[in-house]
Amino acid sequence: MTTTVFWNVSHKRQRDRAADPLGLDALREAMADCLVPHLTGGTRHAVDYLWVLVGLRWAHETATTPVDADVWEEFRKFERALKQYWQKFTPRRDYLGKLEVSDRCNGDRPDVSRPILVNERATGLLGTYIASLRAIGLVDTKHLAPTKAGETLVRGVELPARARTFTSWPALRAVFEPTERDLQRRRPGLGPHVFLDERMRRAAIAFASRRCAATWYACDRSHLSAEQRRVARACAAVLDVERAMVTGFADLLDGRRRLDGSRKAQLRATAARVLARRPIPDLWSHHALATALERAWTLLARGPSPESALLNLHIEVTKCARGNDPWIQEIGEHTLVDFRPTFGGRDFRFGNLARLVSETRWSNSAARA
Amino acid sequence: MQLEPDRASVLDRLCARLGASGARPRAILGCTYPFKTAIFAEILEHIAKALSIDAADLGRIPVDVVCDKRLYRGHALDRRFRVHLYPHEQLFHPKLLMILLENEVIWISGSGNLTAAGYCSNREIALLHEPGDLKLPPTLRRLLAKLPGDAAGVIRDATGDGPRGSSRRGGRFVTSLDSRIGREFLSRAPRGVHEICILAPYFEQANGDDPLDRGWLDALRARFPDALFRVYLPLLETGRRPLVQGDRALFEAFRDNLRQLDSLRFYPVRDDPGPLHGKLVALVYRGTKGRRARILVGSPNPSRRALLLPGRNVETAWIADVKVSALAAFLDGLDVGESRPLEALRFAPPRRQSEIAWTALSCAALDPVTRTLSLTWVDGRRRQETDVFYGSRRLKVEADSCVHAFVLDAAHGAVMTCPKSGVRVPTTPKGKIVPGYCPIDVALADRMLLGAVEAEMSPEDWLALLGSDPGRSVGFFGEASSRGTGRTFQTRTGAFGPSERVRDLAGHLRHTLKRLRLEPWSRAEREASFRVLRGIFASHDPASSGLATDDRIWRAWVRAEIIRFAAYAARDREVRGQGLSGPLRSLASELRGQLDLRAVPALARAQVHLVASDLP
Repeated sequence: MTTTVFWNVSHKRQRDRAADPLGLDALREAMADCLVPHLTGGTRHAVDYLWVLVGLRWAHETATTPVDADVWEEFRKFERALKQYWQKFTPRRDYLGKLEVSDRCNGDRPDVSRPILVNERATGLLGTYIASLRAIGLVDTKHLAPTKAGETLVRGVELPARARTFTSWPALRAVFEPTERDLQRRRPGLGPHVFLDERMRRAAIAFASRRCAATWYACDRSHLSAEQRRVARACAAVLDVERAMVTGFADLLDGRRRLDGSRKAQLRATAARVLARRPIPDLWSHHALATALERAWTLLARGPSPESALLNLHIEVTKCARGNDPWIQEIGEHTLVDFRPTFGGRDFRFGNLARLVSETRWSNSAARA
Repeated sequence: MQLEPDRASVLDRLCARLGASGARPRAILGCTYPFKTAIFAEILEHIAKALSIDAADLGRIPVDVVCDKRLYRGHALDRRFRVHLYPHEQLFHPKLLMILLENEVIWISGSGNLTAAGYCSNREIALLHEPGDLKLPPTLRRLLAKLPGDAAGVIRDATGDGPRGSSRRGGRFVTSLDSRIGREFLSRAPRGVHEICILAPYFEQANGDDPLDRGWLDALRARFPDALFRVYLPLLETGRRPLVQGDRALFEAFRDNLRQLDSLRFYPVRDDPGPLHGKLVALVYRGTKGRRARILVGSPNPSRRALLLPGRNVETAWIADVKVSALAAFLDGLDVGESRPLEALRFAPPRRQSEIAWTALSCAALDPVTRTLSLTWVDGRRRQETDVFYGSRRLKVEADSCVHAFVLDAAHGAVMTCPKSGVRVPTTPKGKIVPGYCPIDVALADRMLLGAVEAEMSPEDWLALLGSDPGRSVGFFGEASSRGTGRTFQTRTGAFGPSERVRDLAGHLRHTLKRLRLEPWSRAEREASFRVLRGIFASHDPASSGLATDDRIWRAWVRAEIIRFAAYAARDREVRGQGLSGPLRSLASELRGQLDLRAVPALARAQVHLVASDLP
């Protein structure tokens, strides 16, 4: 029996993912769902939609049972191989797991046996695209299989991958390169599926009518539905109030009891503006987070203590709406949470929409014809 | 026992040890005063990584946390572990984390609770115990016998009593359930004690009703009147007269009764890298082997309630003899500098707990298959006076103390109890009444079915628990090719076609057997899987009214497939090696006994009988 006694220090912790302490990420997601309901933050490339369909079809053929778990096991091998192909033979680098893949590509042969991502199912290609593919009817809603429409879209695109394909770089290239060429040509076929839904179509026209636009505010909003128009107009106000709220909350996390006068004024002004813009989509208006946010904005705009408003919002968001532990329970409390907010890439999926419209060469007139 | 001067992460050390063992886990138990879900989930992920298993697989073994009911305020649901409140009236204060492996048990004790502060920021004293076998101190096994949940029982049953231990040879583990820890420590104290070190976060404010800490300090002074007392306290503010956490009146009264006023010296401990939360009492003495120290280290604060009064707190501690040089090096880690007299300090009393929870439930057990939440009340009167909430929803509790059609939500793993409006809450001098919480308990076997079962289970719903679904793709049409071309998927929606139902079921049963060969079922998994198989069997009764003849036949075939699977798996060589043969064979014969085929036409009946009959 050995017993050792020592002073404990913290183990190495993975930095907490920005866990949306005030519910504002959720608000932006809800707004984006209203503007482009069938996209997600990760649906960036038309060709990736097609890769997922081809991968699922191949995984279904390779799996020994029709069970989703087995299909997924095959699909993950396909995805690992695809990413190594991208890294080794193409200039493409905008995918998750670059560092790991780049290491793997220094080896003598591809390696599809080890995971590339910590949670491949959720953060890999399938996790990123499956919701969108199901929403546009290309993947079965209950199982990991392309629908008839999905099958039709990639019919004729071959992926003659076998086990030995994954054992040498030339074999990997020989299989994936022609497939990728085929899929690039098939991208226009995806457009009618992605932009079939009325709201998606309106959003695409709004962008296509003013292609130089870089934000929802700048695009041609006259094509949007009334609700989309209201939400699009509110985007800038949401970003402003978010910046003010998150920075103020970061001050509270530092143990400060009172915010600066300028910060309070900024909070008051931005909260009043966002209240006037009414950014919350109708479908989300009864959500607990929506109610909490509206209450907080009202208190920030008119109430005496913005500190309490921010703290109460945080407690309500974490404890009541999500069931997590609040980072702080009282004003002035110190916290361990490493919270470093960044404000980049918050475009309500406008960039994704623009890229998909361009890559699929979709146009309203062509779609009607 | 080895006192190490260097700081280290107890979790990292535990994980390194687990990784080296290469064994599979059998049970995990955590004991804590307050509990936070997030850190425990993080700990489990580290443990799973060290053991090279998927963290989700921990849901297959008993993983329990036992915490004190006074500080429990609910937790986010996590399918990997269950939370239990210590059911007795004592304040539950141990801090333990025990990992039972196949051939040994490794455990942590000390002062750190299962909270982020306890594992990541506070200055905590950690004890890592590596017996190298399946032996535990008898005192600890007696404590396990009193704890709720499966894990404590599994660990207790799998382990045996190790040597009781002695203070001089490696140390001994004591709990307040066996004896009063303070008395035990003092009764076997060495002679020639000339110095006493006391290290603790709380010397609580003494009051007229219950002068808690004076009791323990007085006991030390009465036993060692000539000793020099060195007290280590958390430093709250620096300055010419530093502010420390403690009660001036308590220490003044203590000092006034010392023979020499300068026999009490203080060491403020800075909160860098974190606030002091470790607890230690050391009696320094001169023995035959030179200067040594008898130490008491573990969960108890230096209070009468923790160390001297019977039946008040549940505490665990380790008593051992160490070299003074080792103790000095250990305390040097606090980097406290020069000692200070009482006058050179300012004191701020610690915040007292001033809330009393409205505890109305002793248990809330959920059956995820029937979706029934069964409530057990602490007494009948509370039931009449209490509203039960789940999240923000008030639950309708039926006369049988059950909530039917209960829908579990991932954010909330507990129900909340509040006094009904109009109920006169008794006023108490101890504090204000706040809502009480009771964790929702789902049996280990049923945890795997959480979220999978519907309110009204149709035959299709039961099949879906195995992964079958009428909407799934069941195969390919077109020319056979492995090149991914020339094939289309056959996709169905709605109900199963008659033969599809059986074919699909057979496919999933093959998959189940394949998985079973790769990885044996735990007991809980076996129970859950058997429950599903029995559910499929029961839901496919060919004698149900209103069925067409075809449906009766196919339902009988489904039943036959289940029986055949159980009988076939029982004979599989790899499954047999896992000790599952017997239960599977019993299941097959149990279901065979229920195979009523009177409603099936004679020809089909004969065929089904043939398939379902015992294999040669």
